[in-house]
Formats: sequence, C-alpha cells, structure tokens
Amino acid sequence: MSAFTLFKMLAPKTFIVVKTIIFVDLLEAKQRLEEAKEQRKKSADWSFIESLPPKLKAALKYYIEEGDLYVASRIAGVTMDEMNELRIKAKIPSVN
Amino acid sequence: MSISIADSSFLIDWARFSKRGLLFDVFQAIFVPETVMAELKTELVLSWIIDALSLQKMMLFPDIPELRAAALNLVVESRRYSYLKSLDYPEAYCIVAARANGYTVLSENGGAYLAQFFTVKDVKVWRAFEVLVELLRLGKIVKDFLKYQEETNHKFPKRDLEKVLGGNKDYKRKHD
Repeated sequence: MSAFTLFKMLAPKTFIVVKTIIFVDLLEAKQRLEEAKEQRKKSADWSFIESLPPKLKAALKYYIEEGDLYVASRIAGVTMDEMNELRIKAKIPSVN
Repeated sequence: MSISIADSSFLIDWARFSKRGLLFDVFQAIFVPETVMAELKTELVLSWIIDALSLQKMMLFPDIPELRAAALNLVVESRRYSYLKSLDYPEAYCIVAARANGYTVLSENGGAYLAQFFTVKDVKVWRAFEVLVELLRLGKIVKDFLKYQEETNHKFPKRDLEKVLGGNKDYKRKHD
C-alpha cells in the first residue's frame, strides 16, 4: 500500500477526531461561562443592588454579567478586595 | 512541591477559607506580584499575606518592564478570541511571569482558567478547586469542598464537583 493511499484512508478520520475534540472544548468553555452567569444572576440580592449608588450598582451588574472582579472594581473605584466584600454583601457567588 | 504565582482573585477568596494554611502543603513558595498587594485592603487578607511573607512562604514578585509589555500583548491577543472571556492585565502578568519561570498560576479569573486550554497551553492555571483536589489527593482534606464554598461564597461548577466527588453520596445529598 502506498503512503498516499494510507493518507487518503486515515486523513478524513483524523480530521474528524481533531475537529470534534476542539468543538467539544469550545462548547464546554461557552457553557461554563453561561452557567456561571446564570448562577450569579439567580443568587444575587437584587433589591440590595438596586439600593446602591450608581457606580457600585453598575459595578455589581457588570460583575454579574462578566464575572470579572478586576474591571468591576475599577468601575466602582475600589480595590479588588473591597469589591469582593461588596460582592459577598450582594450575595453574588464567585463561580469558577 | 512547586512554586506558584497568585493573583488577587485567588488570594482574596482563599484567605477566607479556615484551612487556608494548607495552601503551603501544595506549594513550597507563592509569589505575589507587587501590583496585587495594592488591591488588598481588608484585615483578614492582609494579615494572612503579611504572616506568610514574614515566614517566607510567600514572596513579592517585582514589577518587571519586559513582563509588563508581554502581559499587555497577551491582553490584546486574548481579545482576538471572541468565543472566550478575554484576559485582564493582572492575570496576564501572572501568566507571563509563570511562563518565564515555570510557575503555576493561581487565579479565580474565568478568562485565565480557560486560556490554558486554548491560548496559553504552556502554562498551568489552577483555581481553588484544583488546589483542593490536590489536597484531597495528598490526604490533607476530606469533605472540604462544601466548606470552602460556604466560607468564601464561591461556587464550583457542578460538572467539576461531580468529576471529583460524583461517587460521594453524602456530598450529593447536601448538594441537590
């Protein structure tokens, strides 16, 4: 059997396997991000969040959407540590 | 035991865990970037880190201009992968420092965690979850996944918990 014939036999199968693995990984990555967002939304104390000054409220809403403590802390104008305390007061879980 | 470099998101969560000292059973040393120190203000977190610094279990990692530039490049590069959460500067800095020195990154940032599977495959990124799994493997903890979640208001993805504790009936009963 020539090398070319062997390649023709194996290449499509190899391609399908690689494609499936990458697809599953990406799918799982997207699912993880979506599930985390849902969990943050569901657990949050929305009446507490709505009672806060605009900057803190915006920061917590951003955190719920993105799960990004660093950017949320910059929006709120506080350190990450202080932002984490606010997250806990607002009953938003850190999901990861 | 290996060396790690931790970002703020990991340290502020882990510091609330009553068994936080166990972290040093997994890593012989933990670097804390200087920029991370500026993000820490609460007494609980600061006192834990200061104690660890004085015991030389933690060490400050300097702000190195070359790594700063590489971290910014990584932030820009991560924006190209729209299907993933992009990286922010603090965790990007930890990643490039880890890549240059063979450290493990400790981060609770979702973008950093997922990046190791796609964009920075040569760097290992651990969340508290992986540290707890390692502690479980070492026989240092038994059922502390729930305890960690309660004490830090942190939720581990169900799929990860089931992989590790799926067979544990007591865990399932409490978690359902």
